[in-house]
Amino acid sequence: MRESMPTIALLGNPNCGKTTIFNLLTGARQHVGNYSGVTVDSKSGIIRTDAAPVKLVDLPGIYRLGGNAPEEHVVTKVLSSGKVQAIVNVVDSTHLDRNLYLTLQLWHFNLPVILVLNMNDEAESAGIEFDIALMEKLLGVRVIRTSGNKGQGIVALKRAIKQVISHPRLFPRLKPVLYGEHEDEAIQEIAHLLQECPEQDMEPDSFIAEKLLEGDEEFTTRFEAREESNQALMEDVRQLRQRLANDTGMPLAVTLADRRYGVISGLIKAVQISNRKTQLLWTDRIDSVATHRFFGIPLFLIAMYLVFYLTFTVGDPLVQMMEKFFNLLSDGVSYLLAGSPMIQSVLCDGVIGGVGGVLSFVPTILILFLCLALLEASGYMARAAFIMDRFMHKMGLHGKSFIPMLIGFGCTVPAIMATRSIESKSDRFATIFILPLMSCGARLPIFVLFISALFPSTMQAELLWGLYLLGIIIAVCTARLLKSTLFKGDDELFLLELPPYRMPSLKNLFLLMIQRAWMYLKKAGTIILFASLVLWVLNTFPQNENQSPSAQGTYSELNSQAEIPVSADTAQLQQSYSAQIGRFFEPVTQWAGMDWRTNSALIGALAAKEVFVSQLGILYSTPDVDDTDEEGGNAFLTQAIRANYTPLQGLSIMVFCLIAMPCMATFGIVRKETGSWAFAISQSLFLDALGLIMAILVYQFGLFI
Amino acid sequence: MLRYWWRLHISTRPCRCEHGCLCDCHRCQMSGEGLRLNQLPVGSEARIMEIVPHHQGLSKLSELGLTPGTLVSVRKKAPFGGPIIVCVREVLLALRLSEAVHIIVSESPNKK
Repeated sequence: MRESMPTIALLGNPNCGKTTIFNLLTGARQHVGNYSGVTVDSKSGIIRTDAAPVKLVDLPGIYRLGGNAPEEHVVTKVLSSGKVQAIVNVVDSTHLDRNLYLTLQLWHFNLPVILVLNMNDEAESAGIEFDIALMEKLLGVRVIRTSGNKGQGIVALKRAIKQVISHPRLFPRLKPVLYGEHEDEAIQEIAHLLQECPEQDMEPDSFIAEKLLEGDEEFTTRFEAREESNQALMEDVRQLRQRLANDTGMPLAVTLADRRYGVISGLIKAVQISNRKTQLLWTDRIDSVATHRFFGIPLFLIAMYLVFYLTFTVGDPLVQMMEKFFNLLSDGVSYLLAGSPMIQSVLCDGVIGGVGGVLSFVPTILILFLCLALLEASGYMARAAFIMDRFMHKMGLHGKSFIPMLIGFGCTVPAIMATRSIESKSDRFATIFILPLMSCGARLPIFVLFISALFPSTMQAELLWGLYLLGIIIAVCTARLLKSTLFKGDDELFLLELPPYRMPSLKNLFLLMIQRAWMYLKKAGTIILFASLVLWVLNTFPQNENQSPSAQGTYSELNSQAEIPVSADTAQLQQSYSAQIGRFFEPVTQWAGMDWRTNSALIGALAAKEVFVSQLGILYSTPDVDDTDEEGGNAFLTQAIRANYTPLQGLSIMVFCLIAMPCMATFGIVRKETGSWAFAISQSLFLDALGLIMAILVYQFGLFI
Repeated sequence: MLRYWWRLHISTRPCRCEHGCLCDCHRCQMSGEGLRLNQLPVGSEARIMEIVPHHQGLSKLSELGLTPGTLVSVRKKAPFGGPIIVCVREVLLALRLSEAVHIIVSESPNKK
């Protein structure tokens, strides 16, 4: 059933409102951003028309076909696969000349095309009108006008989609682009030769012919690598290229691009009835400050500081409310289950203690994600890349690395996925390597816990800001080191479109915030619940069995060294597996001011950084859970930390958490994205070593003072 | 010696010129004739004459609308030799000086 469902591809430039159209058509919840290259994966949804349902594949936003970017490969592959029945091409009607470039390349695929002139409202207010009938005739497509922000024109688009599925043959076909007599002849000649080739390629012949003529590296090497049957073809291509380049005096790639733009400007002259007003007015005004020579960078830093100040100050009361709720819940459950201490323990300490501790930070994470989404959707993110490029370039990275790094403040996992927009491999790998140093949202609970427990409220925001800054500085040094040693490579082009500033739609922002928070919660719900239970086991077992050292495997030796317990509760905890692991590392970590409790909490943090808090919570509250009737959970933990750690120790622990031990999810995604176990493992080991060294430095230096 | 060592190990973008520059400089890249896009002051408008074929990636410039004959205006320059913002076909594009140096322009927008 699912197999036979007709498929339509949704295609368009970045920033043309394609994702909004996708959401409107399918009702799917998806990331809507204003930064080039937000949708890197191709996603799909189902359109419910009143006839049969249609599958809509959302392709990544690209400017052209056949380049080296992974997005362009994905699009070419999907379009050539023969599984797509039609193309819906979304264009920004205020920037038709740029957007139609991609449209013109679609004729190779011989598919019916619905051209969606999006942002119709903006075009109207800018005083641009179109002769739709003439446009349909000249291009050979169906044209639909929409305003994604207001949801206008979606009904007409759905109707067109229904038509193209039910009567594909009656639908017009996009007309081939005429480049000029000689060029067209050359393309036809090569396409003809390609048909005779023994090996058939997936892409359409005319498309390959064009690429070969342009001297595209990928296709040229692909054909040169083949057997002698292709040698004649390549020789032909070389001659044609030579001749045509001599004719025009320009490289052929430039000529063809030039001709395409010629076709487009001719078309636009014919169909566009424009009494254009300066529509970049507001963008110009904002840009005169936001990308100012001197104000740009301070403004950017202030914006970042504001984001974190908001997160900390506004989020804090909400966090306390959540904590109170979970304490009440825990009390209620333990009252109900007073009869069976084992279940009571697993529910109160393991489940509610662990997950509740994490859930209580949801408000903080919501605010942070909302701020980042706002920056992204308004168009400021691309300016940030522009402002930061000099700086990023100096450290050997790319202006585009900055956005993944910014997302990295939310969560490292999506950030690593976002590096796909960086074309050059060396830049991308270097960015991935340093991304765990961007302090992610899950580390925030750790910082908040220690900072609010150990430091006066006047310097809390500044300290948090400083920690984030430290992460960035270390990342800079590491990246610089990497780029000059391991990832030495050519620079990729820095070409970034700066979209006009837009008022982000509240609905999209809200959806994005909910979506990201949900991702975090899903992590909390599955991984962290599991981790909390495992940790509870590690903390609770082995039970008081002093006589069975052999049963405890590798820790038997340590167990014999363990101190003689004072009371039964303390004994149980001190004998637990996690404490044993923590003690094992204590000789090393004590140089950084970390005792076995933080060590074993760090082991929990491997599963997910947030677990550090719940682990520490269990370690401190488990033995005394009966004594604390009024204030349990985090309030108790705060007191426990105040009693057991100096501010200096707290600082050193936070530094270690900042740098070392990327969580399992990060490790997994790095392995997946780089395709290399060696990369993922060496990254983890490097970060661990660096974190330990830094923490030791901080602690010893602090002691010295 | 120090210079050689720097270029080999520290500099992320060693200059390929024969002057032995410490970093990738625009002076050395401007080997040919003509006014380059990176030399234009902020606010000026010019017509693109030619894009010097420097390496493969530059074809992307023309595909993004920077083709010979089009008007470009320089909108912004980032401090410390950072990227510049140009306006082409009513779209704002940011590009680095090391890329802008390959674009030859003529500063007489009215003449074709």
